[in-house]
Amino acid sequence: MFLEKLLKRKKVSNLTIGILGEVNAGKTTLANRIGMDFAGKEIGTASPIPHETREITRMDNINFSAGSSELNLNIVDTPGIAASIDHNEFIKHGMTRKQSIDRAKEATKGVIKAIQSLNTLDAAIVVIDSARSPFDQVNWTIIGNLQEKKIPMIVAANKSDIGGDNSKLIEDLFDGSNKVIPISALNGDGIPGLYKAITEI
Amino acid sequence: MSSGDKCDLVLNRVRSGRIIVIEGGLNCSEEALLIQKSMSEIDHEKFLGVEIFTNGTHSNEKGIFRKTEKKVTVIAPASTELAVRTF
Repeated sequence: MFLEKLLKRKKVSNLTIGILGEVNAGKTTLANRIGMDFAGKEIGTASPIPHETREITRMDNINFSAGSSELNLNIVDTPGIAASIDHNEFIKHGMTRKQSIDRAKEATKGVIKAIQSLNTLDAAIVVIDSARSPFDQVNWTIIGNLQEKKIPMIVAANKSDIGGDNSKLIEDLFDGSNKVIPISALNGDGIPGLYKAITEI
Repeated sequence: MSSGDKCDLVLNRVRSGRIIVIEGGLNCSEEALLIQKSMSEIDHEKFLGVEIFTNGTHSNEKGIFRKTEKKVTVIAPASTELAVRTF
C-alpha cells in the first residue's frame, strides 16, 4: 500500500514559473491566490490602478500540489508589460502630478525588468484579460518570445466571470498550441484546472 | 541591419511624430526590444511610448490552406489613435 502511494506520487524538483501579461490582467491577483492556497501568504498588492506591481517579486519554495503531483515551486510575479505609459492615467486615480510621474518612471523600469525576466524562467503563465476587446498586441509579443525561447507556458484567460468564456477565441488567436485555461483569479473559477496544468508542465 | 539598430531607427522616427510601417514586420524579439528601448526614452511630457500593431498575429486559419499574409508592423507614437485595416 505504501509502495503504491509512493509510485503514484510524482515529485518534480524546482520549477520557477513566471506570471506575465499586460497591465491590469490580474497577474498579482493570481500570484496572491497561489501564495494563499499553498503558503498562507500573499506575494504583492493587487489594485485597479495600473502598474501597481513595478518590481519583480518572488515567493520561493512553495510546496505546490495538484492531484497526486507535487512541485517545489518558485512563483515570480512581474510588472505588467506595456509599450506606452501615460502618467495622466495615475492622476485619474487621485494621484498628484509629482506622484504620477514618479510612478510612471518606476513603471517604465518595471516593464524592462518584466521583459528581461523571460530569460530566468523555467515556465510561464501568461495572464490575458479575456474581458478586454480587442486583445492587446503585447500578449502576442509575450507569447511569441516565450515560444522563441522554448519556454513552456499556460495561457490563463482571466476575468472569465466578467468576459464570458472567450477561451475558444483565445485558443484560436494565440496559436492553438498553448494550453488555454479560463479562470477568474478573483473568485477562484477554473483555478483547480490551472493548478493541474502547472503540474503537467 | 541588427535588431538593435532597426529599433533605434524606428524609435527616432516615431519620436519625431511619424508613423512607421515595416514590410516584413518586426519579429517578437524585436518587438520586445523596441518596447524596452521605448521605455528608456519615455520623458513623461512629449513622448509616452509607442503603439505597435503587427498583422498576421490575429489569423486563426490553420493548415495548408492558411492564407499567406504579408507581415506588416505599424509603429506610431503612443498619442496616436491607431486603427489598422488589413485586406
